[in-house]
Amino acid sequence: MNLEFLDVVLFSIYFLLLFLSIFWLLVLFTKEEQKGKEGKEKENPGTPFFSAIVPAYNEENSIELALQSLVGLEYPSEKMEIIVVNDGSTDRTPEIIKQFVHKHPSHKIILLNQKNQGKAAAMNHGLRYAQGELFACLDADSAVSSNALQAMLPLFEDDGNVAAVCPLIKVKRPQKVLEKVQWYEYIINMFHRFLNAKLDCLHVTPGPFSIYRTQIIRNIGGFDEHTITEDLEIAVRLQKHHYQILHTFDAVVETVAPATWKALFRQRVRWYKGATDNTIQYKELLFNRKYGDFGVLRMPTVILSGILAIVLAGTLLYELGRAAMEKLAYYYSINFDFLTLLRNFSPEINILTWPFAKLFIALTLAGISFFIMIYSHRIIKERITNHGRTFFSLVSYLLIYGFFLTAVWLYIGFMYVSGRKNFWA
Amino acid sequence: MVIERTISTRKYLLAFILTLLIFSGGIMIGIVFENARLSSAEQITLQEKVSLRSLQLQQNYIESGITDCKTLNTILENNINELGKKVGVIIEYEKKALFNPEEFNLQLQDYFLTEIQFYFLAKEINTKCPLNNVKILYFYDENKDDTQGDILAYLKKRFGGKLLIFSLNSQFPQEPMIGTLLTYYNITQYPAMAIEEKVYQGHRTTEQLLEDICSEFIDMGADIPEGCREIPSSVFISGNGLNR
Repeated sequence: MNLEFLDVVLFSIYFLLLFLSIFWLLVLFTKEEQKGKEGKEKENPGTPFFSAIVPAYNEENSIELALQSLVGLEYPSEKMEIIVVNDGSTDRTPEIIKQFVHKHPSHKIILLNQKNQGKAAAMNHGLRYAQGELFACLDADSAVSSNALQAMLPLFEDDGNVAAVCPLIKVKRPQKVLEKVQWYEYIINMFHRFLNAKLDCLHVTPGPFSIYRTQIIRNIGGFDEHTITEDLEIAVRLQKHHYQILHTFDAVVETVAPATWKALFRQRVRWYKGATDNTIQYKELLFNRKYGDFGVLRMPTVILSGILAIVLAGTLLYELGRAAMEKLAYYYSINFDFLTLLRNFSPEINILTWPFAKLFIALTLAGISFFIMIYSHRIIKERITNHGRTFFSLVSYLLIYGFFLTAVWLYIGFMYVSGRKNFWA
Repeated sequence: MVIERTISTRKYLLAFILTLLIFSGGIMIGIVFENARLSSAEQITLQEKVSLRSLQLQQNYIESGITDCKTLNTILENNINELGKKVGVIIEYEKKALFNPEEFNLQLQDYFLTEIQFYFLAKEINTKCPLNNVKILYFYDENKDDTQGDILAYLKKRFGGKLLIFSLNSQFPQEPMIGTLLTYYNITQYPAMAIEEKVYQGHRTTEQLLEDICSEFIDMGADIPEGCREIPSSVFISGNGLNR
């Protein structure tokens, strides 16, 4: 058999990706998995006391909108408190918060100040003061829909083991192309979360308005102040203690997405590096049957996706580089006489030489990806063409965004190999 | 109270089986197209053999005047052009062979033999008709980057039918005739070329090859092709008749 190294790499990656795609499709369409959390009858949740913690560091442009969305929640104001933790802001954030408190005397809003210590420390600071049976974290650049608590609190009912419930997160008013691309990404991620939740495999409780059971978080020691992604770490720790994390699409949180490639790159490096760090930190969960699908599938997938991206990118770059160098050497050897080549150009297309086996498998994968894209919009009840997006931008997302995320993984690989520090530290 | 952890063993198994099925589908498609490639290779080889027989027959009747040199040379050039194009196709088929490598190897061997027969026939025709083309017997090494082959392909574009190139794989042990030619020309280093009867071993640049080829055209007293007229004068050794 004439199999080249690139073929072996491609076929192995195709196999893994296809296997995972089919597995998740099976999860999606298996009926017994669909009952339960998503379809759960909404009972009267009662009105437990609820705390919202808003860590804020230099958020003068967005803090007011975030707070406005909290006071706009359809929930009795005497049954909730808002704790804003000013994490050593150097801009007008504290003044804006004070003005906001003054304007809303009917709400219990507490402002806590601390030196700049990071989000996790701010969350813990707020947690020490929180009186709610349940509490949520709301990033200051996000805004929550008014029905969020009605949609999310019932999921805590009847099951004291539910430690966290996460909402549907969307990109806030996407205007630029990059924001529109992230819109797709968020929708796909939410769909993926929907599938993960079916198997109790959620590995992140996102910063924008995940609700936690206060006592459980206190019992397991609060938020880790040393990690770069505390929302990922707390979720893995909850899973480690066999607590349940649920999610719902009925509560919506809109969050601001990075508007420049540089900002997006930094954000994604932080996320994926954090996820990898967490996986290494909790390596005892990897392939551990005691943790069910979370141990044998979810945890390894975090690192596996990075390894796949790096191996694929490395192999492709090597092959492309080699082909480019060969072409360059050839053009050099014929003194760049393109005129002769053009004059005598005759396109010879021989369909029989096309790699049909690879194409068939790749097209199957592309078909599944396209289906997931369409289906995820259907589940989340969003039109693909909302916010001025077109099918062209959808295809662009499918084709181009993968390269961007591969670059992110390559950089993370470089960070690990070179021992480079996190640039946001 | 803790959640009851389960492993979705049935789903993993089913996903694995379905993945295998899709891969099998891909492999089946690969087999179907490989068989189509094999048929195509057989068809190409047969076509070339028929062209060879036709040319052999025609050259037998030059003396009797049934065929003339001009027509014969034109047919020869066309045949060798086709031969040159098709050898690339057969080599590509052979490289892509996953399931029937032996069959493709046989096809390639058959093709190389036809090429060699064409080469000898071209030489025979040249004994009866005035020379107006340069023949290059090119021995490539399949284990090395074929930059030399690319340069020859470029020169072929430049000279068209006036340059007849016969490519043979020097590392093809199945065909003893290739070994015989290598011994005859005393070739030990690859890539190597026999331009008419002059042997060159190792890589040659475009400029060197242009000089070699154009010198042959001058030596045979044929019309100087366009490809030689466009060469900068600095390329040639002064006094070879090209610096006009």
